[in-house]
Amino acid sequence: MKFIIKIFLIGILSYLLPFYFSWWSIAVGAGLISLLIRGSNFNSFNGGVIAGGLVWFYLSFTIDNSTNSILSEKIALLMNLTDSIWLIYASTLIGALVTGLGSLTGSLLGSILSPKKMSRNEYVS
Amino acid sequence: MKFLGFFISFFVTASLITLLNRPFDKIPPIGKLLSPHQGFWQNSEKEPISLDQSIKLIELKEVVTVQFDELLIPHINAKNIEDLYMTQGYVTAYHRLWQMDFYARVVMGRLSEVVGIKALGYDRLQRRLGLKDMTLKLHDGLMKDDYYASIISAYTNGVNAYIASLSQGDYPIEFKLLNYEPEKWTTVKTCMAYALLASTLSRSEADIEHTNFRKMFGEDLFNVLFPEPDGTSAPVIPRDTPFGFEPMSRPQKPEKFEAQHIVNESISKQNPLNGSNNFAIDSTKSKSGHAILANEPDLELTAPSIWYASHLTSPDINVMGVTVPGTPVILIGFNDSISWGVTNSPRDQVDWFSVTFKDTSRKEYLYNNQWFKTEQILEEIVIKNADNFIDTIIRVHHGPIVYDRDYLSNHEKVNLAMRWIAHDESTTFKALFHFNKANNYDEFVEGLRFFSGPPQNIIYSDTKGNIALNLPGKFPIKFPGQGKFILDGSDPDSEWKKYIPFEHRLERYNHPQGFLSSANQFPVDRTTYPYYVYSHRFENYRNRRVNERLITMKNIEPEDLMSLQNDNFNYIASEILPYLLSQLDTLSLNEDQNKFFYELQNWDYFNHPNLKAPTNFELWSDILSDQLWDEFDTMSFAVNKPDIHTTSQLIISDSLVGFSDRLSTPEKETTPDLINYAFYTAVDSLNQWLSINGKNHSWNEFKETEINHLISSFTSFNSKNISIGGNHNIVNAVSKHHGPSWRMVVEMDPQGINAYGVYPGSQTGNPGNPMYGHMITAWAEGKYYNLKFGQNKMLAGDILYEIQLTP
Repeated sequence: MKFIIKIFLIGILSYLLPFYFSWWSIAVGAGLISLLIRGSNFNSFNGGVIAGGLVWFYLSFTIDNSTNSILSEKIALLMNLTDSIWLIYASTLIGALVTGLGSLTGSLLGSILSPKKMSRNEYVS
Repeated sequence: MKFLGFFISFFVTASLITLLNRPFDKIPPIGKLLSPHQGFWQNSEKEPISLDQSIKLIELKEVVTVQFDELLIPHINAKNIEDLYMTQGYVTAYHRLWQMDFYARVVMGRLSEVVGIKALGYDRLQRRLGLKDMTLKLHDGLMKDDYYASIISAYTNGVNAYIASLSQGDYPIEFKLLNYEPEKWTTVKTCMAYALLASTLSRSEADIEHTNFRKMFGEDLFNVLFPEPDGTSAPVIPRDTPFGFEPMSRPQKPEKFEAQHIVNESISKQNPLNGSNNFAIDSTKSKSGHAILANEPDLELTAPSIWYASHLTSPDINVMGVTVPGTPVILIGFNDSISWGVTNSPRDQVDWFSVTFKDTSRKEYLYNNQWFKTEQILEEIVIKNADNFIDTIIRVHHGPIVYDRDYLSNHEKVNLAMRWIAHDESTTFKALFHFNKANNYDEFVEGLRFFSGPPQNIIYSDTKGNIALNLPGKFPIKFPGQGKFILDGSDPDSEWKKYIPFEHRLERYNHPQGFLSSANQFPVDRTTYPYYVYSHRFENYRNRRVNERLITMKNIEPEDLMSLQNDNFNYIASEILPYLLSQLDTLSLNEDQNKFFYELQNWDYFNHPNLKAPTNFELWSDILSDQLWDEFDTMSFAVNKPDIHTTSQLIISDSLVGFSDRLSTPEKETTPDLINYAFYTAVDSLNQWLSINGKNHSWNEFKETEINHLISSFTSFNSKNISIGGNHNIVNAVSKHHGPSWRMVVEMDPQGINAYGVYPGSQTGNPGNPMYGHMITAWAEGKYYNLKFGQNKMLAGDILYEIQLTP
């Protein structure tokens, strides 16, 4: 359950933060959530990957779909890609990796700051 | 252990972000670019217009409404002049912000800052030509006048308000791909179009090339290959036009001066394919009894298009037409009383003066047997991913020394100062504002007084059925031949002293023939106009075609002038092809050659897109010209080849003075030998083309007209293989990269103007907009759109989108 909540919260921050801050604020957001909602490092990383990947996939896919790939086809050609779908994959991958690593870093920072909580959380999750 | 884990994770995360957030050579930051919030995804548009319907623009005085029609042309309705131009700045930036930034960089010599070292040569030339200084001078002059200052400031504020409204994700795609951000717009940038257009239109000259040629081959051969037209063949100003004034005296021609050293390489010039047509018919020629005006400037075809259309309305102005994005005035257009259009008038506006320095410090130069002080300017050019470059430019009283030891000087031997009329303070901006508001010919002529260049054949028509052609501008009174060759910079007699008074300008107001026209040809019959007129290149075909057509046309409707604008008649071919075919040895032709021959023989000289003969002719005549002037390719110094008209005349009259010999063969070829050789080579060349391309050689397939983005590497933003006829020197002047950049036809009905227009592009400059480039097909097919003005004014159903800007 906690894992789901974490994914949900990271997802919300990944969606909202870049509207106001730089694109990589998704890493900071995910780190913050994993610092506050403790869990295993493994789960934190996975949660970040899933949340960040989903948000970036959802956004790029819906934009691409609603605009009939009007621009992604042209950008794909500039990058020597055969199909604009690769750009959605690439966006998803970047969103997933950066959020996942941010989340993992937050989780590891948490275990330094409050080692006790760590063991309890490990048990719960 | 825990610390180590954290630090490793932190380090990996930070490194990944850093990698994805930084550019690599030409690759923009990939994380940023692919971010759905800030990257290119945000430039994908679902609807043609994405502006808010209600916009707060605090600097406005009153509410302004903007209605976009189906072509995305903004119809701006403001209650005062400042609000009008502020809103124009805002909506133009909305559609073309990156292009505006690009043009400002072109003029200021600041492209290297964003595209890197490859633009350094270009930036240096722009600064040596003084485009920045011209813009500053124009700006400072205008800002002294409260009226113009308020317009320029308002437009600038509008652009800046738009920029301020943007978040990173909203930046035009080009900023993201080139990885830089829009900077603040300035009142100086709002004045950039003059230098941009002057450099595109009035810098054509061949002084250095001519000097080189004359020095090597003598004056006699020079005069054969580079003759001056006499203006008897369909000039701009009809030959029966009287000039009743008492002319001012001509300066005395000084002793002949020969420049000491030959220049190996000269600066890049404006493209000779830039040209235009305009024509107007009066009430006698027109079916409806109203004057009709047509204009189309033929320029390099670019994406975004050089033109942006708008309709500006406030209590004392109601004007529609096109302008260069970044400029708060309509350059070509119409209001409810008058219409006007322009074609470039080739006129020698640049002379080069050879300068002698006292010593290598270059602090003093020789003039009138005395030493005078020079001025030294350091131009610092910022280059992306490289150290700044500092160019030292020396100025003398003639102007900037463009060719010197640091620039194309031929081993430090040559110092050439540029005297260009465009360097003088320009008031052309004011002229255009007068045109925008003029109600009749007198008010229009008042505006012409301010027109200082670049020299244009300005055509006029009004709702009273009048038409006129004017060539206003600043022209020095020259002795015959002055400025054809490099001049002596130390001799005061070589300089320009007086200028042709405005009242002595070339002007024609109405004409019994019922029409007036211009197409970059020689402006006037030399025997009737008392002042020396010169340029190294003039049009000789489009003008004759337009005139011949208009003489025969009667009961003209706007559609007829549209057809004339799209006329594909190849005048060159009609003159030279019968002669070329007659010189062919047709008995010995093989099958391919026979086919090639018959395609040409059965041709009616129209360069229609689906015909094959235009391709054959183009191949044959190009190869013929290359082989004919092959002697020029061996010359190591800067030199021009004779133009197409002279070449054609020399061939037809078989007076090639030995040039028909091909250097690559031991034989001495005659003109017929050369014609036959070029024919065989053309057939081989066509066969090669066919085997490579695997399609038929219809003219559109062979010509492959394309419209390329201003950044050449953004290839997927281009439009390729546009099916359209015409060619250079044809009224429909579409070659591979050049052509009509705006076609406009306006019927001057006093009950309400009927206006039509089209250009090869779109109002939106965003390749991610569904309407990007949407007018190209109509343009290629010769179709026009109704412009929403006068009788066609915007009705509720025509409004695609409406916004309101409030203070």
